[in-house]
Amino acid sequence: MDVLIIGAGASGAAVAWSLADTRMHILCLEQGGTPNPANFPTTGRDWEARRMGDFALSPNQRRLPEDYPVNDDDSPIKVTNFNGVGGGTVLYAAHFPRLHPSDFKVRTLDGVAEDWPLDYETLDPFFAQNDAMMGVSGLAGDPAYPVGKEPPMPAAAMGRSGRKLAHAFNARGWHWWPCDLAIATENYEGRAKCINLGACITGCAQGAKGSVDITYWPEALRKGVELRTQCRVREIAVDDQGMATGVHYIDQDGLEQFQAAHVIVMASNGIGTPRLLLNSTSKQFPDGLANRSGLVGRNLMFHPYASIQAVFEDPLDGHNGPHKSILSQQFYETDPARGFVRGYTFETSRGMGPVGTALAGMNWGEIPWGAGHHSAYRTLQDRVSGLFAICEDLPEAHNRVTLDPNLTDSDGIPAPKISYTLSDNSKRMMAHAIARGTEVMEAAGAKHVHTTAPIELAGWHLLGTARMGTDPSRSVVNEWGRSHDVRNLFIVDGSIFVTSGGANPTSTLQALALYIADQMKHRLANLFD
Amino acid sequence: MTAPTATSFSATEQKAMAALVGQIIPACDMFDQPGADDEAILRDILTSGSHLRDKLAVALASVLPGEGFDIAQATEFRQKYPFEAELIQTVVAQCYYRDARVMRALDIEVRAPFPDGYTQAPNDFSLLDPVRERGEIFRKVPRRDA
Repeated sequence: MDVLIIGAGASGAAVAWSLADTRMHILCLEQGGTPNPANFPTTGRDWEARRMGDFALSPNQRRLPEDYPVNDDDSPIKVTNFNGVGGGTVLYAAHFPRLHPSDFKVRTLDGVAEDWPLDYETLDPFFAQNDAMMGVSGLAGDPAYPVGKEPPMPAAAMGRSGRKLAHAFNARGWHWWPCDLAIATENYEGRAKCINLGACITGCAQGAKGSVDITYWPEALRKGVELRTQCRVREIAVDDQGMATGVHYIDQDGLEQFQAAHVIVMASNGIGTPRLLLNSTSKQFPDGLANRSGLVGRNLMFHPYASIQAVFEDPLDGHNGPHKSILSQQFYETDPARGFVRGYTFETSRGMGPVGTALAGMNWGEIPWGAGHHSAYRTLQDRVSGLFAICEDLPEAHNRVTLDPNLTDSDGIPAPKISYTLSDNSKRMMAHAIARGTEVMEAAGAKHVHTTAPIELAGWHLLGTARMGTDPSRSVVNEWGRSHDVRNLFIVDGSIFVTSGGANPTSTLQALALYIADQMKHRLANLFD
Repeated sequence: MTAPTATSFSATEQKAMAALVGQIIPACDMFDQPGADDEAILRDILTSGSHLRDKLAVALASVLPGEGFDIAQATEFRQKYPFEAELIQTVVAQCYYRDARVMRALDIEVRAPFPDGYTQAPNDFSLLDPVRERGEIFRKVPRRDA
């Protein structure tokens, strides 16, 4: 095998598709199966209940055979993921903003963290390529970005909730813009357009949402890439020269196999990648593969989320429509007067279904137990909308992934343990977001506002645990994704993020994966030099 | 009332659950809605919540069903067993708000979201005029070749 990719999610799919141009033999091993849209929750009336069951966001709650447990007891933010072809894109909301140019220069601009070893300009063509592959909808001309960001499809419906909040942002004189969403608003490349099912984060039965199982993978498979599902990699093997030779994995029949490969590409994201590297110890790498810097697993970044939910007098959208409609990046860039560095994105949370409304109302104390339940429910039905603030999480070495000494997955492989604390900067940023978000809601005419920070079950974005850089003592991979220590090992997922930015990372993560694949193609003759 | 169900809850626990959920969401004549202790809804709760039986057993044992179990006692249960009360509340909401009679009473279409979906009004981007007028807000960085 020429190239072995571990993980069939957002980055693994993009790399597989791009590298297939080389006509090399490419194999991807994925521990989960291929999702079946006919089984997605919105095909049944119990769709909201399944969101808390077999389609729960947390692997610890879901506990499917392909899931591995995560000990996140020592973290105020819990890990969410999906293990299967498509990875996190199967359960994401498909909000697709890019990081900003300033995100790549945080040391230079703000004196914190590290600069990335590449910049926005470098990624620009790969952003566009990825937007076309994933099928992004939106509106060109957003003044929060450099010119040139032109989504291939028109923006999704803002709905009543989006319009209400847009008026409120206008009243405050603050930026807002229709979200870039990896959601087809027109029939696109064989995908049917969005019909506003309203439960994007439990998988899109319509196939309108751009998850890589229906975007990159069909194309990659047509180009000859091999995908083996329900194959869980246990360890990456190395030879005496410290080069990776292949992987030991457990196949779908539970049998241990060895797959040799000339190049190994890690695409298991910010928890799965350090877990596997730390599980791959050897004489040459006693502290884990590619870990001579000691940074594998360190600098974990999540994006702390603050939630501002509001109850309005007049009916809004309920759950009908994509979760996200508009964003505001008014507070994205650093302003020292705010008392913190870096910033955040506000994204709307459209509304809730009947079960979600009842639970939120009871938890907020707005819907009582007893005789008043029914009248109170009606004051919330289709009348709740919200904002989430996605706060930049700066890297801190003590926030890390290690191996749990006791916990294992169903194959006996040590499970990851998360140790994470919120920084004072993050706390100040969330407090600012709640104050400004509350102002928006009040300007929109909210009757009541309910806030939470951080949202506990919001560890969507798993970043930074094998970061890129030019200095081998301060980074795990180089500026084009190759391990400093193992010259035929590449990492292309969220773990190589140097900083998190203050926006959903999938667009940038995939652009980065495409960039690395492009670099590999250009360097094939001397890839290991 | 209790009904025989495929559940892991004992008969006594089923009675306790019926008494409790009937207080959480009682029947309502004004809106013509059943209570969560309606036979079909209760069966759904007991079946769907079956996996929670061991977590709820101790708390449910404190509920003494009968005519005297009222909202005050349900509230007391909620205060004494907040973890268990939240689990029960979640299952109750999941089952109650997917009942066809309840959905109709709330003017919610009794169907799955897929395949018909829902409609939304077209966008009006004239709302963006003030945003456009204010111009660029992203922070400039030195160009590579600068």
